[in-house]
Amino acid sequence: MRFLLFLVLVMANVACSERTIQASSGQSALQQPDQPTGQQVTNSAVSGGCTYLTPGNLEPDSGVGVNDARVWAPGIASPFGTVNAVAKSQVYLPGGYQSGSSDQCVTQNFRYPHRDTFCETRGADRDSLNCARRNIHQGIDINAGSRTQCLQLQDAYASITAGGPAIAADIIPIRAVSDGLISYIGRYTVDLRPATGGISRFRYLHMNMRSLRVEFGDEVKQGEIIGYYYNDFAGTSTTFHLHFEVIAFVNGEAQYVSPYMSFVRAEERSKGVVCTERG
Amino acid sequence: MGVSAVSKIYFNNHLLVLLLLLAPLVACVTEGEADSAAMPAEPTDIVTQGRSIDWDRAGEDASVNDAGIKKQIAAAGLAVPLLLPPPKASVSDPSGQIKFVDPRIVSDTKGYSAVIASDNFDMLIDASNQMILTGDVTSPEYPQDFDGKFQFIEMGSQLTIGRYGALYAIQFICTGNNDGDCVDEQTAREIVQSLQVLRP
Repeated sequence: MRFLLFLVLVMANVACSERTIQASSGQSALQQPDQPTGQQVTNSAVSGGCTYLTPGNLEPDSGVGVNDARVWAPGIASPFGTVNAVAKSQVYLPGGYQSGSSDQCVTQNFRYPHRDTFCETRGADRDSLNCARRNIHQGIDINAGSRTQCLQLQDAYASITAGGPAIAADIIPIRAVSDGLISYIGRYTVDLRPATGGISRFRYLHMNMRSLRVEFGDEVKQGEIIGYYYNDFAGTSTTFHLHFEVIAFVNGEAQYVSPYMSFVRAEERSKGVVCTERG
Repeated sequence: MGVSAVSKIYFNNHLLVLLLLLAPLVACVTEGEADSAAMPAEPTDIVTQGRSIDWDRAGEDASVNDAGIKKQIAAAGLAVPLLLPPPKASVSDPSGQIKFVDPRIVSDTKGYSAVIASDNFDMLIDASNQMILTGDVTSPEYPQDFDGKFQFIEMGSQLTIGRYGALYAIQFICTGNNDGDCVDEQTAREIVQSLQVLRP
């Protein structure tokens, strides 16, 4: 009996320490992006690590943002779960076509602060009821993982384009942000119809379309893996990132609304951190 | 050493082990509580409002449903009238006609989403009896039927319509190129005019 009690307590402690390690390992917000997976880091990273710039504060000379602090999609989960993820421009930072640098895997691309890209200037003729100008970005872009994983993805991409298996790039899973139904799979998009509320679609772009875990009509639960982070752009490629959109019926009209603060809050919940606003 | 002395040491050792095992467990539970307590509340000035549906009028307008479509709808029926394009829609562009095939539908308690393929675009319909109201709009007075603003989007174009009190977001996603200009406003509105309400 005593031995049994001893065994139960030892197992409970092991479970507790595993949880602590998981919360501070390479698969969590505590991860410093370039540390090897599994390496433990200090707790100071929890409160001090996550920062975000004010909504609408875009990269310099990248357009006119909108200071929309609304959480349009309350209660969503991060599409990356506990994996490191940071909202960043894919056009005006290293690797982007307006940046003058071709290295998309630089460490700074995976570090806080989160920065808004909703309404960022783009070439195509798009408008939004929520942006000041036309020709804008209708979602936010998110980098995930680390420099190391970015380099692994580059190798995987080279392998796949040379005829290798698509699963070579299945490195960073992407998850359903809410319960719902898969309502469309396009050439480089996956749409999720949330089960409740005024939001009509969550749209994920640039996943590995040859390695999806879902099909049209599938019912998914929040947090369920639906596919993998990649650079798919309908036969061509973009930087490795997730473009994430929220489409909602707002005051009677379908609109692209800013996913930025919904994502930041989701990151807080998924990582168990509090993100601090910077000016 | 007597028997009682041995028992005392044995007991004390076990107590010590027990305490050593319990201490980190208590710390673990306390830490978890602290983490969850630190989460900030989500400030929001938005509410979701239901829309009332005029089923009588929808029923009067309804055409006979296709058996294949009926099969895709949940047994409980739809929360909003089922609007879909006909197999062929007349438009004034040079082609004169757009063919639609293979409607695929998913439904839930607030409405449905449909994907209807065409030659160079997919038509997506999101139908809902719910919408978000922002804090600055307290009593929107939208008619049951309206045709909303047309806009170009990432991969195509979209517009919103109201029918029978329900809201329908209609997107045309280009499948032949990445330019997003495969359906212009006039064609989009002509396609919308061709939509039929089908008997659930």
